[in-house]
Amino acid sequence: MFRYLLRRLPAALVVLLAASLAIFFLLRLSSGDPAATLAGPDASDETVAAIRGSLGLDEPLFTQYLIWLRGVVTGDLGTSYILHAPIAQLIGESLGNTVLLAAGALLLAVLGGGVLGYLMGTVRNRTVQNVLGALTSLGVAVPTYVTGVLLILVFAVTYRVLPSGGVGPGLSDFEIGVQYLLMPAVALSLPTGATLARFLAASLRHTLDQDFVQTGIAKGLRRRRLMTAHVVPNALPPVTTVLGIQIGQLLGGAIIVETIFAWPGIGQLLLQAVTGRDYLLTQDLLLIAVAVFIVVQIVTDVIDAAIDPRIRLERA
Amino acid sequence: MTLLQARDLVTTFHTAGGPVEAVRDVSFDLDAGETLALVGESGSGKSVTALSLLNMVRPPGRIERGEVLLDGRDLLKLGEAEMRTVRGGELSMIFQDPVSSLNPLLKVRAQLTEAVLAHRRMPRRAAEQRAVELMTRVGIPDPEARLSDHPLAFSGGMAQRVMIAMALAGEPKVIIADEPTTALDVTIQAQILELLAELNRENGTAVILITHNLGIVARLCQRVAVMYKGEIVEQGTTDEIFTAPRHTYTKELLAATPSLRRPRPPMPAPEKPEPLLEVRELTKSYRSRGRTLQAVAGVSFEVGRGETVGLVGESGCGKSTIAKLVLGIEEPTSGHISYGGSPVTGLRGAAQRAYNSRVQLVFQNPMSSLNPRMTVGQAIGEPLRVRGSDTSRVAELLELVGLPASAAGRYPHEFSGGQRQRIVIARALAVEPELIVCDEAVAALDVSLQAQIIALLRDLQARLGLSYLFIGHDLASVRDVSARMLVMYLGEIVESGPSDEVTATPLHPYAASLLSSVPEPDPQVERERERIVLRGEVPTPLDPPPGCRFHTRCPIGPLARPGRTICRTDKPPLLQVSPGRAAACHFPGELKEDSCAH
Amino acid sequence: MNGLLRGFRSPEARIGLAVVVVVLGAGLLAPLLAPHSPYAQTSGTFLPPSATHWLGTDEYGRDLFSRVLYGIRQDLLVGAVAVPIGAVAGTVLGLLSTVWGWLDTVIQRLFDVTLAFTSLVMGVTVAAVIGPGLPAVLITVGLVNVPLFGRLTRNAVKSLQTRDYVTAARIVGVRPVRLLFRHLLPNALDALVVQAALSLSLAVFIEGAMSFVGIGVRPPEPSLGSLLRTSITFLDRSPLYALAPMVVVTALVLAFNLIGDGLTKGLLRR
Repeated sequence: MFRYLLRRLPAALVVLLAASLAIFFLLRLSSGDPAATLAGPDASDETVAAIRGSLGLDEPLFTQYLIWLRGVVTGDLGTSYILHAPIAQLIGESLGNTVLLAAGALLLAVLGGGVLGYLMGTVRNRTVQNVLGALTSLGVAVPTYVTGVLLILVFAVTYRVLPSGGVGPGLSDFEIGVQYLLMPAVALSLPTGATLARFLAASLRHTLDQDFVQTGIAKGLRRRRLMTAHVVPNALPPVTTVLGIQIGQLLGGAIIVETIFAWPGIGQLLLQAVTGRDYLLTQDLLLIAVAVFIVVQIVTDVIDAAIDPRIRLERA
Repeated sequence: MTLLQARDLVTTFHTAGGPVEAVRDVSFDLDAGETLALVGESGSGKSVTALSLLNMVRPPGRIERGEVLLDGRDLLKLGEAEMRTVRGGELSMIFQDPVSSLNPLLKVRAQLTEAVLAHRRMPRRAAEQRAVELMTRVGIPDPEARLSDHPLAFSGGMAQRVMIAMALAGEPKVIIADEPTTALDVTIQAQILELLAELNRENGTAVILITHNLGIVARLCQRVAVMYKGEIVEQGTTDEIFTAPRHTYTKELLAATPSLRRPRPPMPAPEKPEPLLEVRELTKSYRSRGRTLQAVAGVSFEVGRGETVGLVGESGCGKSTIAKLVLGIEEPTSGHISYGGSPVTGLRGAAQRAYNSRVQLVFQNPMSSLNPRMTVGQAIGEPLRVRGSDTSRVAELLELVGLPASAAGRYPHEFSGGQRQRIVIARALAVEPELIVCDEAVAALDVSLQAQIIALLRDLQARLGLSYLFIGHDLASVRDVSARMLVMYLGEIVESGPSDEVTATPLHPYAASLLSSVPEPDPQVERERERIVLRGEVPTPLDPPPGCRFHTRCPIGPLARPGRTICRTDKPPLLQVSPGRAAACHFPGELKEDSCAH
Repeated sequence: MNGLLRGFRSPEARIGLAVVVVVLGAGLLAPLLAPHSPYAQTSGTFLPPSATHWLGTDEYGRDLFSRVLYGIRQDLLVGAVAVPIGAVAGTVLGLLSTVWGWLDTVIQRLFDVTLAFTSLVMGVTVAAVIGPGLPAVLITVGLVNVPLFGRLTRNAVKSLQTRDYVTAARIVGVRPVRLLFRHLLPNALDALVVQAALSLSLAVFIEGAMSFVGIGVRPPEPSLGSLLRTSITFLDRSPLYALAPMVVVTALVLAFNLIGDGLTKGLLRR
């Protein structure tokens, strides 16, 4: 397992490094002179030069890149000039909210998607199949920004049973905190859950067609044993891969959901950074987003390898 | 005493295209301790019959009516819970592909113990002990260690032994074996058949053997039911069926089955043929993660104009690699291939195309060797078009292979396997080649179609003066087409000579064992012959044995005769033993099929 | 024989195609169909639906129905320009990577990098580089599609290259270019067409998402996403303002997904 992880690491590091280069150079080459932006239109050349010096913008671009990378690795992310606060602190404040949102959504998606997918993959009844099939294709298709707005329209505007936005007291006051969390988490979980359900169902159907399932039946196994020991474990690896991609995409979804529900998370911070042309904050956040995606991919690959000895050997 | 009875069994598949009756009014009896064969070609309904016995037919298939009586009890009326005790209990089943029939994620220990526990209440420890016994019973060496392996660590033969061990877990009265050796090599097939026979003999377990291979029937079964299009058209004792078949289908099947003992049709064997293809000291190695797999290890042979040379061996012996090397699809690691006197290795572009105008290939699987998006006419016309030749010859080519000219407008999927193979042959003929390499060209076909394709190849040879390099694993069909035969083992040629002589009096112990493994479609012969059953499996070409590569399994080598250390140390060269015949053995001709058991 | 054709005839694909034709047709013909200019402001703000304003008016008294119709045109542009460019670029890169081993490694890593920017993160990145607006949406959609088509093409061609009929074509003398266009691409096409349907769905989603969070099409320019973004301020006054773009964008995304599902079904059933 550990050796499998070691084998996967180099390529992942290359990808991460390439992504950091792309982020840094594309942003720097396009954003003009950050010092001039920062100083404002009326600033004198001396002021701009002073700012440039203080930000290390005098150095050659590649040196700046190395300095930035060193900062990221050591946790020194620099200062946001639109929010006038250390970036590490800003991220610290919003990260918790996004993690809470994503974790809530993931929990709902895995539970809901797991149950629906299992039913869809194993129940042969046509009506059940059609209803679940329609529900999940709707879940996959309806964009988060539509479900989010719809939820507000129904539960906050029309019936006024749930708060339309904000993070509330968080989990310190569980009962109220959950009320704030409910709609954003549901909106974020729907596409993930529906995708999960569809892939699980397809994978279960495929697995049920395999020869070893026939062997299990011919052995006289109970259905419960057949499902838990043979069918489900074999159906899981493709599903965890998909789940990994979905988790990697949760941050993208969070940008939308946080906008709808005024949820002060990483997504909101990123949008502020982009619209405020805060190149350093943007750089840091984008790199985090990409790194999260890559790490999640590796984790799911390792999980797959742990389940399936063939994966471990295939790439040995 | 009748143990199992099928009565008027009907199983239908309700497909989108309408209901298809796969099993039609099938009835048969099985006595306790008996071996019954269910014989038929693909699609005859024999596998569905087997699944129906266990009430395991899956949607869209459904058992419409009939009874399956086990000791007088109708299994089709049992509830799911009761049926579960029957499956793997009184009635066990093993399947065609042992590797895919085992759960790849679970260790063999778990899969065996759960089979034990499904039928006997006992502590897990005891069940695991029982698993060891079962592994020993089916002849798996080092059972305790092997229990900790995942199925992917097992070869096909060993995996099938695991399947049989699992089938034995509930101490069944009947084992239903659905094509249990079809996915296996012939020497491994012989081992598995031996094991089934032994279980039948010693435990009194009845066996229902489902197979398309009449040789296996003759070897193992007391009675036969012949299936055709979902019905049992004829049943009787094996001797009756083989000596006095009544139904036309049975007669045709028997006539089409290749046999090593039947005289074969006369073979055009030019006295001193002009050598066309010459292969000298050919080797091919593949490197994978620091290890070297030597697929072909120093092979020399030639094919003369108008001659057919057979190349026979088990899977992994390197015979298909030779096909790729000869065609120029892959480059040899060392050695020479020359054609018509000029070297043909390392050809590119126009030179390669010119060479391929003279040497063509026919593949094993006619399903995958035609582009599904091109009509038959386009496929056969393509070689003509890319050469700027006249594509009106397509009709002529179709006629040459026995297909109507109207076939040109249709797509490959509209044709049967045999017809597709004719199309593939027509495409190869379009370039007007001199030599055609047939790589397992009939292996994917039912025996009646095999016979037709072989007849076609022979006919084309007579009309067009073609030469063939005919590669196959089935000794009988290779013998039927080839004047000379080369026998391969682990990348080397171990014997060569005229086909009828090699198959009658093999010189190399491997050739002798291979011949002995092939079941003959004649119950009389099978009863009387003493068989050499090779122990163990083919070693991996990643790490071939030193000296003679066959010495680890050789019935006359150091295993049987401890004094023969030369086999371990010295590689025997392929030397002429008598005119036209050569063998790579230190003791050629010593092992004769009937002189030695095991 | 033709699975794609069978797929297009499936009920899912028929419904999807019908919706796509109606919605995109309405967008295409917006200048003819729209009763008002999408930018014309009137004093009648937040008017309820009426004969003159079928969906009512917005906060500047502009006709909502006309704005929605014109909004569809942005998706038309994204689907007709960005998706094809991304698809072709991806397919070409995918093909190139089947030719040389070293190039394969380079291109695969490039795809890995692109994929690590999931769709909306890519949108934010592009917006940060070139600034928010329709061009950012177009570039994002194009970039996101490159690795999708690239991987698909590469894997399809790689597996096709080992097919017997490709070997057969090679040894009857078919040259590489003809091999590619007669044997490899036609057989890889099925998967690419399905991906095209899914990519169009993704394109509509991305336009909506980027405009919705304020880095795509920006007011006063109408797009389904930008309309929805503005509308949420007025949810309690005029729910229809939000509902109209919501229905249209959902219909489009769902319709393209349905086409993809139908095609897959047609291809699987043999």
